Amino acid sequence: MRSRSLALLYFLPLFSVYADVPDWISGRASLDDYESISGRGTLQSGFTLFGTARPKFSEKLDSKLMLRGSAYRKSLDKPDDFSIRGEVKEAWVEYPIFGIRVRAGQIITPWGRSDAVNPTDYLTAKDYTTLSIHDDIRRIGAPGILSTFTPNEGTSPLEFSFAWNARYAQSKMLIPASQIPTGISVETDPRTPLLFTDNEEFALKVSYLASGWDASLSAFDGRNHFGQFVWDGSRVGLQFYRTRAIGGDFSVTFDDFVLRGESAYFFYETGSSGLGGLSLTEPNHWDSVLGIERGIGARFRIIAQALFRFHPDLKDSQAYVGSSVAETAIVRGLGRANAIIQNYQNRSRLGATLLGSYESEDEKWRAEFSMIGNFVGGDYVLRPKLEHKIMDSVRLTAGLDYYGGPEDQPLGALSAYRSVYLEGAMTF
Amino acid sequence: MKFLLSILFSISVFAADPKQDVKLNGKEIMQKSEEATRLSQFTAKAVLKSTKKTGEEKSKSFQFWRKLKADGARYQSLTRFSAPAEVKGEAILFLENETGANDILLYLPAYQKTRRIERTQQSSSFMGSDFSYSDLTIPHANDYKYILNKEEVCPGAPSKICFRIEGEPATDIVRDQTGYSKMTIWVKKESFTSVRVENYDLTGAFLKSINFSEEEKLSGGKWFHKKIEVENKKDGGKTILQFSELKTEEKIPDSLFTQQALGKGSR
Repeated sequence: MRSRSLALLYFLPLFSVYADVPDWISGRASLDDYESISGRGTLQSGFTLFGTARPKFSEKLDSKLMLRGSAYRKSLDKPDDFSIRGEVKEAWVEYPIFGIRVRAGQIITPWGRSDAVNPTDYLTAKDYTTLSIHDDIRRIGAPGILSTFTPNEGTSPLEFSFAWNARYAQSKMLIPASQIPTGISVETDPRTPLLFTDNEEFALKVSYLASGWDASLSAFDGRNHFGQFVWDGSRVGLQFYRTRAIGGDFSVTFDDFVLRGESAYFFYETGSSGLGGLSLTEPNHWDSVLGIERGIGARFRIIAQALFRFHPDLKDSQAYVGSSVAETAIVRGLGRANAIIQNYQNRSRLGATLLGSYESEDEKWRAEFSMIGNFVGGDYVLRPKLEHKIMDSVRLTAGLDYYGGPEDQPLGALSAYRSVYLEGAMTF
Repeated sequence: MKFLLSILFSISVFAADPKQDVKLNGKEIMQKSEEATRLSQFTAKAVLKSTKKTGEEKSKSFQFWRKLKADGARYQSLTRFSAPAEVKGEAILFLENETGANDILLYLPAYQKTRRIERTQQSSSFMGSDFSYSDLTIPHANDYKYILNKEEVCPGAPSKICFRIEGEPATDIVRDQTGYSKMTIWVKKESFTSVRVENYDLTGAFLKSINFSEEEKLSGGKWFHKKIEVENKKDGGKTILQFSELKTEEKIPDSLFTQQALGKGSR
């Protein structure tokens, strides 16, 4: 770790002295430092302030403002420069109209019951270029309206949700440089799409809560939030193709464990086989997660999930033949890169996630081990971490992100991002 | 053993019936005790203060809502935490079911998601305290088999007479949910409110004692304990649950006790 970053961690407890905030404000101030173990030096080092305000103007009028501001000495975006990033994560108001709760503004709507992998999370995107142990800092919402209706004056076990995004959110991906065809530059940070027009999204969900179980069915008409590399004859750009999806999820409680499942089928405008009929971009596919969670005694907890992706009409992008040798090489290279980054190299992809956690009785120490692995391809990421509560609202976390396996597989290709990290965070 | 743990709110309807000449059996006493503590609805602020054997203290604050379900017997409860900062906005929905196990749903504001908790975890620690989730439910007389042991001086209140009752879960579901194999309960003879409960784990070892104090008689004739204290006999820990700002007249909508509303009002 760089000594300057480490030294800053000592100032967090001082900051906490000034953090006596009203109930409707909460947040987190954190300092982090990610050091490469692949010889790339510091990957990210900076300070982030993440805050949420929930002013309630009246019994009916609710609102939320969630902001994030970061100052980086180094980041994946700007490896050599000091940079500042600020964003409005959420900014909405909610009011009931004829029994329907209508929320309008910048909204994060995370759907899905599974852990870490959510096929039915149609409406949000994530920023994977921000290294963080906190899920909320990565989520990207969209401007729009979310309306929810629960019959019988809000007491029915049924709930209907309808979401409209005025434009789609774009995920920012970790793109392994080794997978980009040599000699060409690619667009990795596309412009924010215009409001309305062809960039709108719609989603509908019907949920049911019963004793011991709950389930939902959902449908989506919008865009793939993961951009895919496309060659337009002169340059390589990222395309977020129009997508339709149907899916569902459920959770059931048993005596010793909770069973959760989530599944969705995605249809792309590029056809069932993907761009060009040769899967130059991701083809239609079925994406599913099935997992169990259980506590072992009072202090251990385990979540294990099986992941399954099936691309029924996958075609080999390497069969592409262009108008020239150079174009053929570029397009094949991009097809290969898309398949790796979007995880569709095979018709069937089987994987698993595992999360085990332990918390000491005095709640001062927490150890966690998580992993994601692909059985087809043999690539994986291991994420052990150890948290120590050094005072009531200040935690220190040390951990490792280790990407392993063949470099021509989705997780193995990220080996350049292997790192150890230290984060000090104060919540308020 | 949910029983004594009627922690949160003990009230008594029969309080004003000092001439208890009729011989009551254990179950009848417990039915009266349940009735004495049955508020149709209330909300209150609460502080959960835990002290470990080492002397280390920690405290959690929350708002609590409880309301009788339409069946008039089972409760639905919502707990929303306000402090410390690391749990601010977390919420727990507890839905008692007449048949089968209860439902516990936990709202995690950082993920904006709700998670179910497995049934056996109901006997585990509630937010790191010496209470379990099931300790915070209203015990139902029909869930246990009782034997009236004797009448004796109330523990901690030498001027009062208590019924001393032995109880054990009537079903395996109740046993699994509470994690208790048996209990001893002291019920005040004059008010039928609980004074103390001693719980035994599944091996039969003495696990916890729960003491109820700061008893208050409400306008409807029910009783409410503002202070409930748990001592863990195995690890020496102690937790005090202190209620304040009790409101029983304010109408609480049923829609508050739904998964959909769980995240509402959280951060």
